[in-house]
Amino acid sequence: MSKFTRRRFLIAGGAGAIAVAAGGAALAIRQLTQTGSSSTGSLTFQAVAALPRPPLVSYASYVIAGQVNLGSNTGTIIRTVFAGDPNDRLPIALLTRSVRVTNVETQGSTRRITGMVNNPSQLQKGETANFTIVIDPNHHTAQTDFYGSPIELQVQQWKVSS
Amino acid sequence: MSSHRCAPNSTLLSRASLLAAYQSPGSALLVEEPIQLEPADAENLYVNLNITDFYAFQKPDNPNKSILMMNVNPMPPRMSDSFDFTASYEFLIDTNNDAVADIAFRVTFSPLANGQQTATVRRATGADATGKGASGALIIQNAPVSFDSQPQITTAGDYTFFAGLRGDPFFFDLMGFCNNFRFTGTDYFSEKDVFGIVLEAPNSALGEQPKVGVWSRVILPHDGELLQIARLGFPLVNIIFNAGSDKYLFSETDPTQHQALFLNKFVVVLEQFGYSVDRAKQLARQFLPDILPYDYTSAVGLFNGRKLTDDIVDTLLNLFTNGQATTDMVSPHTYLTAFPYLEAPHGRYQ
Repeated sequence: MSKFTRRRFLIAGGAGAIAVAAGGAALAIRQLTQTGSSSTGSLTFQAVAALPRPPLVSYASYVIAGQVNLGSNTGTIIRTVFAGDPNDRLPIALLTRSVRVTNVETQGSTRRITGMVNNPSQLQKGETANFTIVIDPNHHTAQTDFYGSPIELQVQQWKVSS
Repeated sequence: MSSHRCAPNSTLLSRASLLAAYQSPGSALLVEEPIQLEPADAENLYVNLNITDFYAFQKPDNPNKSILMMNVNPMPPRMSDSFDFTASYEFLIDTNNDAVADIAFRVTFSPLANGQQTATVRRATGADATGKGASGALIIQNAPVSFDSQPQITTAGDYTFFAGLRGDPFFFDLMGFCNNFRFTGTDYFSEKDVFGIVLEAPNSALGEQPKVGVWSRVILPHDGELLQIARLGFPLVNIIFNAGSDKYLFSETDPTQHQALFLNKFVVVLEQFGYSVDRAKQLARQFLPDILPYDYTSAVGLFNGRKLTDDIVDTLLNLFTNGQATTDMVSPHTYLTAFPYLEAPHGRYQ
């Protein structure tokens, strides 16, 4: 059977509908690009984890992407759950939250970034408006939480511009 | 609403390019190449061929009839605004427990024109049912597809048919599932919509013997072949047991191949939840082949077909996880008591 069929179709496999917030995700990511870099330095990152977490079979991907002005310690982070596991991620956002960065701390080689969800009315049970992510670029890992549960992500992008 | 249909090859290229760009670890994509996740891209995923759920149950007020229901196209019209007019959406019935279809109900659609589509339903038997062609006796013709909250129902002889936009009947705490079964009782699907295909048929049309097996599939022509690109019997099975490309393979293969291809893999997953090998094999065989058992003389739901109110998530999660997850704390939606049973759509289509 052709690869066309393997790659082309969204396979929900019967977990009901994969609901879509694609338009919202597009807006959010464009917003990221517009927060811009700073003359005092900026940090761009993206980190990904499989959902559910191993040893369960993954079904979705938790993607956190951010751009932070290191001079003002401000910026925007987008956290999104995409359909498909990290190796077969589909451009379909199941859940998207925009976070306003409120502080960045450097602790050795790690950066601890905190922020608040921009639109708290989006939050569901188990979600909080407060957001924290600790990124260790040397080990390509990031620690945050997903609905109150700690989760480790793999850092796929890490770029500091002066 | 425009359709933006793409030729298969260009669809593949655009989708592959998008993913390659997005997954490239070294690219400063967020700055240099903003991702466009708008409907034109998303539509290339052909979600109108994606079977989200399948149901089979005795008609509530008439034990001589059965309801077959397949839902596709999550959250229309964001990614797709119509049924695929090149595809065949099919209900399959195995009448002699050999995992081979003996009867097929094939639903095809006209192209979307002026915001309207019509459906045709055929019934094939024997070798015609097993095959993927468009054969079969005509039972419904020119049935209008519903694109608003008022269901357009077509009756022909003993058959009643509906196709179109309705509320998604599935109820599930999806994010709790993503959070390793830490459920909060939040029904992700409570106000989502789907495209439903609902067929009411006399039981006699499902075979002479009442105990049958039923499933759904979608066939699509591509490069001169007729490809099975979606298939569903039990819900959740593919998601919980199959990783990576196995998810695609599971949908593409016929039930006769399921035990040979997937039994050992299912056993490995079940062992992780504490099942012994023997018990895991026994349980895996209950879901392989992926065919819903259905006795049309019985109104009992799961595991006799599947009714809209069956809490299949609780039942299957409890079973698959060996009691480690017993409920997602989500309740069934509201359903109509009469045909087409699916509640009115929540969203505005236009």
